Amino acid sequence: MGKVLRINLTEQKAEEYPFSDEERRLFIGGKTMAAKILYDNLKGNETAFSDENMLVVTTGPLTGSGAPSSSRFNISTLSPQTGYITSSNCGGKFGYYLKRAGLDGLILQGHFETPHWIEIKKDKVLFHEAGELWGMKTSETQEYLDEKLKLPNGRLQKNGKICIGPAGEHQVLYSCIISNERVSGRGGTGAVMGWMNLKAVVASGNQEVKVMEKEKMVKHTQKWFRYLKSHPLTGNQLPRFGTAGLVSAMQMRGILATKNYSGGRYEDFEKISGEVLAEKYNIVNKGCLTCPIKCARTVEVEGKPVKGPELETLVLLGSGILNHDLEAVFRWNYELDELGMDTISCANTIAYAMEANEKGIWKNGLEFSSTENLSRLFEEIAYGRGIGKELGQGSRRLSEKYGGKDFAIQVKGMELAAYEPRKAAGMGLGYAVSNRGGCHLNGGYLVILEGLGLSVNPTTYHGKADLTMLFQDLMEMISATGQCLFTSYAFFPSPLLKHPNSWYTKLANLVLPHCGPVVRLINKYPEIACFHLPVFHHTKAFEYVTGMKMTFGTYIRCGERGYNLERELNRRFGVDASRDVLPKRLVAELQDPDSPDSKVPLKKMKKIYYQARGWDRNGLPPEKLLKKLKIG
Amino acid sequence: MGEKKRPWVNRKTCGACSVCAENCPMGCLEMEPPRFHGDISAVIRLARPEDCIGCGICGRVCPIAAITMR
Repeated sequence: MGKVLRINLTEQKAEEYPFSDEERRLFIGGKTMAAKILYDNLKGNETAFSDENMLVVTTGPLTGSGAPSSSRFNISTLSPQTGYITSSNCGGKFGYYLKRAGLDGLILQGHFETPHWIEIKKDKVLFHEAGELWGMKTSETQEYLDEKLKLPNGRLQKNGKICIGPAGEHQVLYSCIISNERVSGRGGTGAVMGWMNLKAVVASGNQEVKVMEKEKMVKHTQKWFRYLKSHPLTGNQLPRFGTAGLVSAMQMRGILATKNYSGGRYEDFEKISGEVLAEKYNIVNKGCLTCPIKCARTVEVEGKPVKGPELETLVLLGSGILNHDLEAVFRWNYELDELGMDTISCANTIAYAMEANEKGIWKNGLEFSSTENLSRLFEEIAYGRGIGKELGQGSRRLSEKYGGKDFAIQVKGMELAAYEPRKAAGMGLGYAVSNRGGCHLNGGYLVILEGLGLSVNPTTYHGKADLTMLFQDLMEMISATGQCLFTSYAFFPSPLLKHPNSWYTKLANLVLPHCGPVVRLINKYPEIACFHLPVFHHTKAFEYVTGMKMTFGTYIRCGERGYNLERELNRRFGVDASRDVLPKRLVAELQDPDSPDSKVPLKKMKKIYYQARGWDRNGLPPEKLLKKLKIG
Repeated sequence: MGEKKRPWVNRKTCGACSVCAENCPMGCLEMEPPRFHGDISAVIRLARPEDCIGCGICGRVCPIAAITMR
């Protein structure tokens, strides 16, 4: 078991943070461990940019264990964008090397007087003046550090890095943290790092990750790799088309966010589809270390091979602002990563500004379809110049200033992902109740059932609340263990996805909305699910790596604990039912005037969701539940 | 003295997770280039056999035992 290290930047001192075995058993790792640390240290009167806030970087027990897609790490902090807790599960190599440095977690607190970067070598912590590093873009920063840390024989040091770009340095509220080409994107973690005057952290080491039952784990992992490779989503669609492969299905289902979510279909969708990206532009598939799925794309920008855009970026900088120039999206995606800004929040804030301009409530010169100056605009946002200074505040704050709250597409201050929820009601509920704000993943990603995997009735409210809870808890735990959420795609048995018109798939689509009572039963009595599911390899792997008993039921219970813990923590910062709301456009305006159910029935679903979770009417976990979950 | 052993990658089982390549102290292993546009079957290969020192680290770190020293 590794240590958790607390680094006081102001005093430039590091010490071990006590995290007991019992706490590890209950709060596992990753985002749940981070939530526990924040829960024990934040009172509710702190602000994101203060010495009391913490940037908590954690790995999970499976990080670096050999389990597929397990190089992940999590960053949690009090978000400057939302004012609540944010968490971000990221690929890259930092988690892998943090673990190899003998650390399970890192707590960064305080601030440097002048810009610095930190080197963690095994468990030694070295503080370096950032000097000329401050101001550099993210790939230049990482190249600079590689050069600086070269071994005496001239080879590159094997390490993992996190760093910020100019946007983080200027505390843009949705700036992110970059690790290699992967991004800890949401909630403004980069701004917190920038406020701390911390440019980068580099971790290296060669400590082996302990696996309690190594032989069994190797055999299990062999089976798991084979399963992922043979699964239609993780073995075919994601490697073949990346996340961008969903564009066409989203168009067909009417959930492709278009023109600031005023619609769910875009006439030029084919030009920005994953198929075109794969066939015409993708140079080679890439993936995170330890991952067999390889969902990342490589495209060319100005003659240089760079990371291709993910689905969210492609849609929100495509149909979201009525742009069908795919090559422009490649360039913007690259530029935003270089500046260190969340592509989702940035794109949606610009879309809000375009609509505000169109409606005449904020004359800012930005127009849908007119995108020639976007590169310059990104720079202005990152450096806080001109109109960019305002856009860097995000759509919630802008709508409070200029009006247009109905079409500022955000929840709790965080802009929504690319799925237009009026034809995916469960996804709408997920956005509204998600702990970190308008997030598809923290929201349970029910859209996978509502047309992007299975075809459960997308507009009904039946069963959506219970399934949202189940999926949220599942993903909470996958993230806590240090794995990529895409491993959960294989939860759906292959035949259901390969044969969408078969009787059994149709039956599954009909039955799933009525599974609420079963979900609640497992939630109430996890001991009845005292088994391992053949389609869900995570539980056995957890047992083999940690030596701790884990069944499907206890896995869900751990996820539930994590989800409630974040909710309880958010309560201190003012979260209750009044914050679980969607913008009026999505709940009061029909997407399709001929279809009366093409809006999110949020009120109904929210009530059932709170009941399913055992929360009170105000959307808060009661004392009895917290006690049952051993929180507090 | 026998000939130095080198890693042999089992193409059928290799998951292309790149853990071996990341841990190779000599940087001899890498993902093979796609054989055709859209190829998703690429696995790890010993790209620079002349640099291999036969240390066997790649085989030890492979999570699915797809590498043997031969």
